Amino acid sequence: MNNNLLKKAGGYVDSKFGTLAMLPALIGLSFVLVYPVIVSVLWSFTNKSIMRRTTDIIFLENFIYLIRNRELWISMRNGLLYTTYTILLQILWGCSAALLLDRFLSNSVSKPLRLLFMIPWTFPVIVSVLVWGWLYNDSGLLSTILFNQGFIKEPMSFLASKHTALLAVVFVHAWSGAPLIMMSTLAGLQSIPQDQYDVALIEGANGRQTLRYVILPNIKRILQVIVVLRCVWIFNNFNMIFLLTGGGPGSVTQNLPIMAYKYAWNSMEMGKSSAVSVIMLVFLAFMFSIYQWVNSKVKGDNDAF
Amino acid sequence: MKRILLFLACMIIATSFLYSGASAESKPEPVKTITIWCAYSQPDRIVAMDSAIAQFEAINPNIKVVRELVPWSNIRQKWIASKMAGTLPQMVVGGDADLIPIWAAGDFESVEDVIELIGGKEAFLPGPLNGLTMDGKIIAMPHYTLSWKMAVRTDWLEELGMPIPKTWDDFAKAAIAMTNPPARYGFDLPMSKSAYKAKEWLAYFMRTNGAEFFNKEGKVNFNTPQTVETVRFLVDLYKKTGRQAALNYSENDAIDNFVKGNVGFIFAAGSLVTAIVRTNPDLLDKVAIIDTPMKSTPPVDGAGLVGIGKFKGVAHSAETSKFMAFLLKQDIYREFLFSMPNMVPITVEGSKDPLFWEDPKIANYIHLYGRFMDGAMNGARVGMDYGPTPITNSGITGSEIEDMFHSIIVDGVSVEQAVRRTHEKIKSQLAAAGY
Repeated sequence: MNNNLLKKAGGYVDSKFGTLAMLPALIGLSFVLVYPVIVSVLWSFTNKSIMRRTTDIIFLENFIYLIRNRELWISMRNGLLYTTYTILLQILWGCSAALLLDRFLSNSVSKPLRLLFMIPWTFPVIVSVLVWGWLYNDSGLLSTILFNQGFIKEPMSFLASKHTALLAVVFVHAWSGAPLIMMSTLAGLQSIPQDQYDVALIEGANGRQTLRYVILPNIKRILQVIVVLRCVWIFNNFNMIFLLTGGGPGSVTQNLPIMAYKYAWNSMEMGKSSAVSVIMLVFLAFMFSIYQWVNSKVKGDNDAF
Repeated sequence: MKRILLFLACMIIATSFLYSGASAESKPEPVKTITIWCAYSQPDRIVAMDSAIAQFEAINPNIKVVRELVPWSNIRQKWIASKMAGTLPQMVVGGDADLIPIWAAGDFESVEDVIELIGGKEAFLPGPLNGLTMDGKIIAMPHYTLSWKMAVRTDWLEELGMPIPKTWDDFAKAAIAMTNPPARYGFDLPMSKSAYKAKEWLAYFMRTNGAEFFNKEGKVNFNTPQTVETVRFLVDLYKKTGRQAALNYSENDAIDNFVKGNVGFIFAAGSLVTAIVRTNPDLLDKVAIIDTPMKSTPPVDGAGLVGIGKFKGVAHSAETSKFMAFLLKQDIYREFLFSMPNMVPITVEGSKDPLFWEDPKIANYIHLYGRFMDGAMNGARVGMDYGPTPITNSGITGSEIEDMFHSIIVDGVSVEQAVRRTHEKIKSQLAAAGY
């Protein structure tokens, strides 16, 4: 009898071993990832404030307040613009650098250059922000050169001008994130079989046609994944914008994470801050589901051929 | 069987990590450790605090004091995050505007025991002690007081043949006449959204125009014609005499520019004198500390108290009180005051100490420091025109005033609309805090 029980236990553990072994890590991750999301969602339905000793459930009041507030839509718009400009720049720089390294330079030149191009990615955000903050300053290098050459009438801070602040922050973020796109694209490029290039050459394809019919189809999948991930990270970005401009000047660079921060740490209204976070979560989930739907349609149409 | 043993081994290892964390905390400590969040970041002040800690530990070998640097602007975030995590320290150094909300949230215990250890209320100057008394309780031990006053380049005024301005009109004329970009600017209003200084500079001018943030009953009284007039005055000044980059300036940026010698008027604390002495001593004879130019009512300087609050419900309360009282022991306190000579003593003994007042560090510049010291005794914190109150930091909790200036200058919102919106925002934040 005991032997049978032991055998059954052993068999159960055998079949569920993988799951059981993952349990401690899953429990830890739940505390770190799932618990804050649950708490945030719960708080979004309350008037929780650090300065208030009691908390009441107010249902959808926070969401109604935010949806009626211009600030939410301005922050959403800024976030979308910021994401679009940054990802486009990152793809342009990253893919161009990858093509340069893979197709136009010899190995002996390409390898050290690869390390050089990776440097922005290795900088901690605070270091990048400090350096670019100085460059963008009214007494910084950029302003001094432009003023001395007569392009501007007096020294200017690029982060304090409503015409340049958003683009200035986009540039810094694109500069620091392009190496990731470069490395992912390079990995894809290096997996393209040489005979595809040979066939294209034989068929008389020029550079543009080779790019369109050989290179892009091969790196499409990698780019898709990395672009989706980068879009989420850029849309959620807080530290780069906060450290450079604090969301200013005016509301020119304020995005949703900064808006959530202001409610939490300036106004100490954790309820409203959580509601902004929930709105962000819902929006990103909605965008991702649209992407999945479009992707499946495109795949379906391709399969039809 | 092997897999069962391997699984059990994994569970034991995982559990032991958790246990070792818990058991590390439950081990009895031979030495009592108390932690102070300290915002003093200037090297001399850090040296003075560390010296005080070393001397205290030498006398009390069973008490260890850990000084943790928490910048002024981070006190609130640190308090909130630590409160949520249950990791509050024993003490925190903060301005009255930071300490009062912590008291109002119920996280401080009153420090009457510390005051008794120092010699009772009679050992303190009445103003500083009253500034940290609420609901009849002393909420934190005062450490020093300071003020902000206007500084001006007297040599530039002489070049222009203009007197020290006493009114808004004189001030505007002088600032505009001084402005000759990019070499000289008349007045830089620092409007960085993370520095919260525009609020203070606005308040100094508002007081000279009969405007206020809160009335005597504690109600928001921001949206008045006087406030609109003051905001419009400062916005016009920014456009005519300030740098475009001032939208992102902290007060330190404005002070740096003044010390470098390219701005005519700023507000600053007495640390400005120290900065000039160290960086550009030629400027000493060309600077005067003046009253804020007035519109209709006499100016009231910006003043603030810095104190040390004691968190409630943490361990080693008696040891904490002992250390706090030690910091005001006269020779320890004197060394601390010398570390940054714009700090005004708050004890009776300190205010009469000849070793402090006759020291060359103070005596040589008393014509400048003296003005700041007068302001410290007679001034008021922003929003506390009628005495200490928690509503200031519950209503004006962040960058509301800086947001207002940005909305006018960058987004083109009218002054009247921006002031009205700010009034409503302060009101709603007060309501959210339960006032």
